[in-house]
Amino acid sequence: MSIGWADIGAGALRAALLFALGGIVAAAFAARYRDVRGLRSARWCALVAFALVVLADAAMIGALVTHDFRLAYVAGNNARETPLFYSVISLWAALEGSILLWTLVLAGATTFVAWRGTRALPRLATTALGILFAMLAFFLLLVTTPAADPFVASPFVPENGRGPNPLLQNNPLMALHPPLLYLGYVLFSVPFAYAIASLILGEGGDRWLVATRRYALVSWALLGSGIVAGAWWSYAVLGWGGYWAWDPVENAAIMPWLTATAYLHSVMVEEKRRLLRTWNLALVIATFALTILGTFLTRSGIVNSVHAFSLSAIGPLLLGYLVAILVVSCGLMLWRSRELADGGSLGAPLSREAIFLFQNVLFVAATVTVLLGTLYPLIAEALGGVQLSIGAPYFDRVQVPIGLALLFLMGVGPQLPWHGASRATLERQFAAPALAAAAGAALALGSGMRGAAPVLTYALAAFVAATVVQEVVRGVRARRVLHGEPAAHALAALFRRSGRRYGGYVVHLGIALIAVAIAASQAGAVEVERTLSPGGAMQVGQHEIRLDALSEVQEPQRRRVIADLWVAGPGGETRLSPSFAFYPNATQPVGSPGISAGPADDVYAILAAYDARGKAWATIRVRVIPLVSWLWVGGLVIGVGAVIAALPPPRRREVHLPAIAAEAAAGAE
Amino acid sequence: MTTPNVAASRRFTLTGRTANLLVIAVLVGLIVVLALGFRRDPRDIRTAVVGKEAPAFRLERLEGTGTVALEELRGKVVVVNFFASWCVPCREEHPALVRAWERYRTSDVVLVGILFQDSVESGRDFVRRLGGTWPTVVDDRGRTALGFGVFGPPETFFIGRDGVIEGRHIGPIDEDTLVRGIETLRRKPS
Repeated sequence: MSIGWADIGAGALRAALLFALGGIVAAAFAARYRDVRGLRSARWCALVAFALVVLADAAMIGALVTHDFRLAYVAGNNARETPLFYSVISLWAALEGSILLWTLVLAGATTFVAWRGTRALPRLATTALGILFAMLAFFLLLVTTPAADPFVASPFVPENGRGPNPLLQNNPLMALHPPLLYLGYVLFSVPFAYAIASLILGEGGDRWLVATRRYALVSWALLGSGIVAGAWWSYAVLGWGGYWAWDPVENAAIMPWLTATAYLHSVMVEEKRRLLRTWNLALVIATFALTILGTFLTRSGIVNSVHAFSLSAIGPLLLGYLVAILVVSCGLMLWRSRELADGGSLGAPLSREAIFLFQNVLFVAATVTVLLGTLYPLIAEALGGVQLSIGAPYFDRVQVPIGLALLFLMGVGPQLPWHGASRATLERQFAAPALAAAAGAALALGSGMRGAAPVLTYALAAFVAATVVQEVVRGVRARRVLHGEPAAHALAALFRRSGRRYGGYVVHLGIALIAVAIAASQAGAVEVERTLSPGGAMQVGQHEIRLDALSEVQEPQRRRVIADLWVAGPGGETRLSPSFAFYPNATQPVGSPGISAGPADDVYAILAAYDARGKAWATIRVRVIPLVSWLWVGGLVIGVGAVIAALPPPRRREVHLPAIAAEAAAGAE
Repeated sequence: MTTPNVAASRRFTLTGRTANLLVIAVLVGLIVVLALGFRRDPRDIRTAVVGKEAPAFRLERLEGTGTVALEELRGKVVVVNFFASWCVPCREEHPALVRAWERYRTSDVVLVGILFQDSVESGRDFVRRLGGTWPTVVDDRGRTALGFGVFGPPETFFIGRDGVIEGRHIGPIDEDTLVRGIETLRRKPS
């Protein structure tokens, strides 16, 4: 074969870079001279660049699937024995492939904005498009220079590759978690590009914000799902019975999610009250900058010292990119500061906008404390030269009170009217939720929960759930009175016509669910470890666990030692098979837990040690973790709520104003 | 409570020159801290093994039969090199190892190659193709590498006559570094 995958991929990326650069010029021309030919060229540049990046990603997958070890990336992340599925998802098993996937998503978003986004607000959208092209060009530059070139040839062709990291070829969730995160990270480029475009054009209004609300929401939802999927993966694969460790990689994902959550709420204040303009711009810029900072932190080898071999030239390049983003954003904001001044002032402290502001301050505080904790080792080293790390206790101590306060505000905010509330309103809105909170606290105490944080969490979650139910019931009742609809009909109409509001409430329910799941699983887990001979049994909580056999299985890519467990509890009987897997190219065996998930609790069994010679005994560690499954359910509920909120309401679709005419009308005002 | 409370709201608004300067100062500080992070070579961390006695090992030979044990090499200068056939820098450094071995093979210096995270067949193929006649052994499921605190291949350890690790090199090594390390240990009185 004369032309290999590497030639196709590398060629496609270089051509795509040319089209991205062409796109910058075309979009700038279109925005400056309002020239439709410029926009047309920009659209085709975007589409061709996207097609070329798709080709490059396909070439990489082709190389992985055919085990083409002439490529250094394939040799380092794939082996002949790697199953097809894991070969495909090895696209994001390491740095270069991840950046390639990132580029693909960015090219897709650019193309979408070029073809769909520019229909309305052409001038703002084409300016934003130019910025997106510039970002795409940066990432294409990364993958066509040695910093992160995924198609570098291996200096020699090994007989067999190293294979993917065993932890990454152990669970199908790995197929879901990184792409979701990347989609979330990258889609936030769109609101950022629009924000910068509005600053460049000097548009003081909130048009950029309305145009990108949906991108921000979808990006936020994907980022959130990616985080939950990552927690799930950590729970199902790493075998320590936990799901969150405040690891720098996790922190990198949660920080932009926190600021994006703040933004989704403060946006409403700007729409309703024309306030917080500077603040909203700052949040969008901060969220975007944090996605880049997160990538920088996890990819430059600065924080995660154990990943010494991910050290590459990409660190300084990403830092330069981050500096450029911050300089451009801050410079533009200072330059436009007069246009950004708010027209009014915030209302009473007991108004919805004030709660949004408190909530925003708390979210930013949470972000800053996570950032501080993540960077503290670096700061300490810069100041005193000591190497240290910050553990989960710091994060827990700081984040738990902030989280509880946010949970409280989540219940209060939607119940307060804009501008301020009267005493009568307060009583009407909070009587039932306050009772629910008391019931929640009683439930927590009744189920043996001790400690202020978990009991408060239960109470506040019940409080939030009650406010949501109250809102929905009132909405349904109002529709029944106004339109005479049956209840089910009214409910569906509520979600379809005011999706943003009621979708938001569904998200609140999901968050309350997650809060309860975290409190219960942190406070109520029981762990027992026993060394058993086959036939031996142990008791953990209400569950009986018996070791039936210890067996060894040879699979193509690994050898596994499996403990065959029989588990009986209140929910019935089941079998679990926690195991150790030995990969030929890995230093340590990889343990896989056996999990029996249930609505009340999970039985989480780990094979801790075993008799390698005679298979005469095994040490089994069993953790019974209450309500942990509801964490994933909560994630799903949040996703459903986000979809409801993102779907366009039915009536708006019918209005079709020619975009240019609308723009001209807006300009004439 | 329905009238807007202007005084209260002003406390929350961040405007004015001081606020701008504050934000910029924080951002500049952030960038400086991040940039300072580059000073640190992540390969230099956890060199705690240097100055300590090398962890003992007895490992099967890659070719033929029998084992090599570190304790049997006491009294000699030992260079331990962790490598793998899939590792590109290992391939790069191999000629330097071959030249150093040619230079010292008849002296009181022993080079031991330890195959790391690799299958025996691929390891044999690597050595047969690239040459090298120094004793090469297979790590027992990475246990020895774990003892030495190996991040990833290639890594080279310099062990003195008394069995103490005197130096460690992460990444591909060149002939000069090898010779310098070996000569330092040879000169050192045991």
